[in-house]
Amino acid sequence: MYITSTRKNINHGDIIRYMPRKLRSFFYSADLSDAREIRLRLGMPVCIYFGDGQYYISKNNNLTRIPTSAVRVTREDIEEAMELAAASSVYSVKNEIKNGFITLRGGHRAGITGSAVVKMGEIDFIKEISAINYRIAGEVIGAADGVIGDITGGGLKNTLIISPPAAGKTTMLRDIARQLSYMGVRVSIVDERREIAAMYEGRSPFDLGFNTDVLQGADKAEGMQMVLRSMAPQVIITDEIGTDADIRAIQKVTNSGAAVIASIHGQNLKMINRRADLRDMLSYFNLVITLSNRLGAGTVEEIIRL
Amino acid sequence: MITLFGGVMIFFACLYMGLKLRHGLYRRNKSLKEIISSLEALEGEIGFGQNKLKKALVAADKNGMFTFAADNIEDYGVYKAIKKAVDKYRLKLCLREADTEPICNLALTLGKGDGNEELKNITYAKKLLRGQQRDAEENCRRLGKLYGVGGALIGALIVLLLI
Repeated sequence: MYITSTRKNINHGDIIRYMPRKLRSFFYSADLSDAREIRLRLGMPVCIYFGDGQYYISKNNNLTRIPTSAVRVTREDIEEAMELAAASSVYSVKNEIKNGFITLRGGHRAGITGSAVVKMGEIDFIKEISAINYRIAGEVIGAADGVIGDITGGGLKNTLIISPPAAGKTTMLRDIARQLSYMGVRVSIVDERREIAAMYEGRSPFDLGFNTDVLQGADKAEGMQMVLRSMAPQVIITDEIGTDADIRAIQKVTNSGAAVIASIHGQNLKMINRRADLRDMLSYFNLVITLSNRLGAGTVEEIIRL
Repeated sequence: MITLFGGVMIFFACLYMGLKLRHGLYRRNKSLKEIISSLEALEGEIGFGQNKLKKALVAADKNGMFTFAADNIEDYGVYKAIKKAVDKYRLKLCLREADTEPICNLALTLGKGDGNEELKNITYAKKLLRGQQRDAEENCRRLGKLYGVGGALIGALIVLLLI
């Protein structure tokens, strides 16, 4: 027995605390309830992305479509924003910075661009930060209502969610985890990019149910095998698979009796089928769900049983 | 009777001043040792624990100064928080201006670099503070007794001159 609704659970206060102090007063008076992203670009106007387009913050604390009258971001703002995002501890988020983002309290993420420092052929750090993109996390309780029956009907299905970027696949995975967990299924989330659970100091800001364990920051392939051995999950949920190692790990997990629910970037099943490496991967899945943005993020286009 | 009472008061006042100055010398030495020890603990917290700076400062604290700074980090940023803590604790810990400079300079970079950079900066600050601590130790050795005895002697001399 579980209860779902379509309530959006977003705390914008969490994101404002990461804004540079000079800019914070502008945000307090703006209505951010439908905001998806806030971008700070050096020398450019502060930009907020809503569902219906982008707005700027004017010097009179109003949202405006006119960039010329907007508040601009200075070098000090970017430096302060970085200090706040890293909790004054860049050394502790160095690995995240290497990947181009920092996970913030509340499940939000600060994407970073600047000059990459390359060591031994790999990005070691990003310095001279020029832009920060705050992606505001949204938890949609009930996002998986339309698919949960297909996933659980007749036993847990190995499920692949195909979705283009920003079409709601992570939100969908999160709600699947929550619903399965409340059904009493032991769920393990392998959250390599810290997007699904967005744990901060050991806690997720999202409702993931009572039966959900999260391993975050670990390589997906390695992490799936780790949780399989350590947490005895009935289902492993992970995001954005695609490498050979991921596919081998999925093979091992499915052969071990646990189910896998994973997402992958793509438009539809046909597109995945065109790639030989991914075509083989499909043999490990029983169910494919395709998402799009057609009627808003999280639109379920197809549910295909394989 | 009043003269005697006044003389005793003057003697004890001078003795107190001497002891206070001596205490200042010893306290400075002790404070510098505590700060160096805190920085060593901070190295561990940052280098091995990878703990956030706020938590690391609290864990490494030995005399309250770093905890005060940690409490203000979110509101003021690292530099201002540490500067405020140094200003608040400088007199209490009997530190001189030159003793606080390495800490304030460290605050300018603390939390902004990767682990190795942080450790290098802390090591450098420790090196400078060790120099200050050696100076404090030398002062203790050289002037400690002098202030204690000197206060009493000056007090006695004033009383004798007045009588």
